Amino acid sequence: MLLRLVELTKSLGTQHVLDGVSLEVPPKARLCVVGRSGAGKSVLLRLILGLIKPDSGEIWYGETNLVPLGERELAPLRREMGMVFQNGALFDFMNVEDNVAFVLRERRRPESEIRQAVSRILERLFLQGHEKKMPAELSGGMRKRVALARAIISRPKLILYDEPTAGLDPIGSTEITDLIRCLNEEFGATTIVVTHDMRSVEQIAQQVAFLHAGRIYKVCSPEEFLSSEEPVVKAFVHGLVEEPALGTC
Amino acid sequence: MGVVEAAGAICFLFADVVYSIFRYRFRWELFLEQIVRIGMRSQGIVLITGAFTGAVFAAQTQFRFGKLGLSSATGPVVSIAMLRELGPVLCALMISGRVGSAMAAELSTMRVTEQIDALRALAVYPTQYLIVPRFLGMLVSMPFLVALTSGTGILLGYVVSVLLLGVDPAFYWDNTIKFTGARDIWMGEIKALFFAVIIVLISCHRGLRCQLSAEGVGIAATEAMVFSAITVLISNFFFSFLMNLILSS
Repeated sequence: MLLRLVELTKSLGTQHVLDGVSLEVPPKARLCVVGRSGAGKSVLLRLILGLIKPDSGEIWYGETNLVPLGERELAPLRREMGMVFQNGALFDFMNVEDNVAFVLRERRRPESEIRQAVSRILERLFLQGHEKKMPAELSGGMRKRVALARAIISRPKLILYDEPTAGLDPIGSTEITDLIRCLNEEFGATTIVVTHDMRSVEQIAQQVAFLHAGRIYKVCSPEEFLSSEEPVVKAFVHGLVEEPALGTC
Repeated sequence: MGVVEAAGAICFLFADVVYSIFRYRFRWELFLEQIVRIGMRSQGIVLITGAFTGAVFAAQTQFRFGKLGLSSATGPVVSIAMLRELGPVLCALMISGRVGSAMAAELSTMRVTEQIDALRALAVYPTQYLIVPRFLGMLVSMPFLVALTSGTGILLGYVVSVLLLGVDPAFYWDNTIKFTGARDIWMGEIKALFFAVIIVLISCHRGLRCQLSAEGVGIAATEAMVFSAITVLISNFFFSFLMNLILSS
């Protein structure tokens, strides 16, 4: 297994967000983690990346438990990971080119190699001609693609996506999901996508993990997930409301 | 956050900055950028501050001392006051307003938009990338800015006393040089370094600990300025007392 989560718990304030999450992700897999807003999906990604620490449990990346590691020890492992944040989290003081080149410059690659790699990846993500633009000048979809370019330029083994299609129109959303699938096939990187967009699940996932009530409720194929008759899963997939909805007259 | 807790966090930040200076590679580009932002772009504001403080202080001193027949004392009083107290303190107050609040706003915006998390995700230590260049930039810039404030204050004090109020220029310079020693200059410069550390640590601390909202950014910027200014004023009293004891013994 490339990644193994063992009985992870995490509370934020008084709220128990994760309450014993266990999950295994094999190398090169495409896994979608789905669940309602506030279920702890983004928290899970932050835990995997070591941005926050769990209250208890273990996070095994290969043979290494990430939980006891400090920033210094985590750095070499983070170099093998990439993360696409929900709003891109592009550095607003750098243009597109510098944002994408950032990782390679940090690793002190030769400038000629960096320029080549940036140009290649921007072309691959249909961003050529936008190199000198600042993040504030980009549309939501373009920002996501730049964030994607920044995350994959160093060819990480594990890529984490936090709501990659949130806030995008249907066409932009399809473009991003296609890219995620293609990049996984091209680079062979293990892909974990956090989303509550069922279309993305259909287009991306090989496996779906449903996060419910602080635990992984179900892990299955997308077909099985989307056609599940289990009330909790069915309600989530079809947006069925058990109690009177807020908008009901 | 309580005062003790904040003071503790600032001490930890200071230790982290010192550790990062020696542990990680030095980023000349970011350091020089900060020298430009802090040192070069603040020259105008400290020139005006120093010039008009020196001018009004010289005028008020001469109005009173002139009546007592002590016009020859105006020069030394202005120069010692500018070098030891007014120059460092007023410069620090202006810098906390111009630079400290900007630092806090910048860092808090980065925090709110997840750019700091993105840095960590890309295996870059935020203290090394964001705080160390600001810390060193401030440390190098402040002594020059304080010298500029005090120097222009003394110069305009001379202009006002000699050209406007008719004090004998030979007396003025002779007494200024006679009663102003190297230790007056050193005291101001040591204070400059001390205030630089206070301003940069408080401002960065407020920026890194802001609430995750637009309001939080505003509060961080305001608090950075207010807390830095108050700390400068309070610590100046104790620092002056201590320095007088050390330098006079």
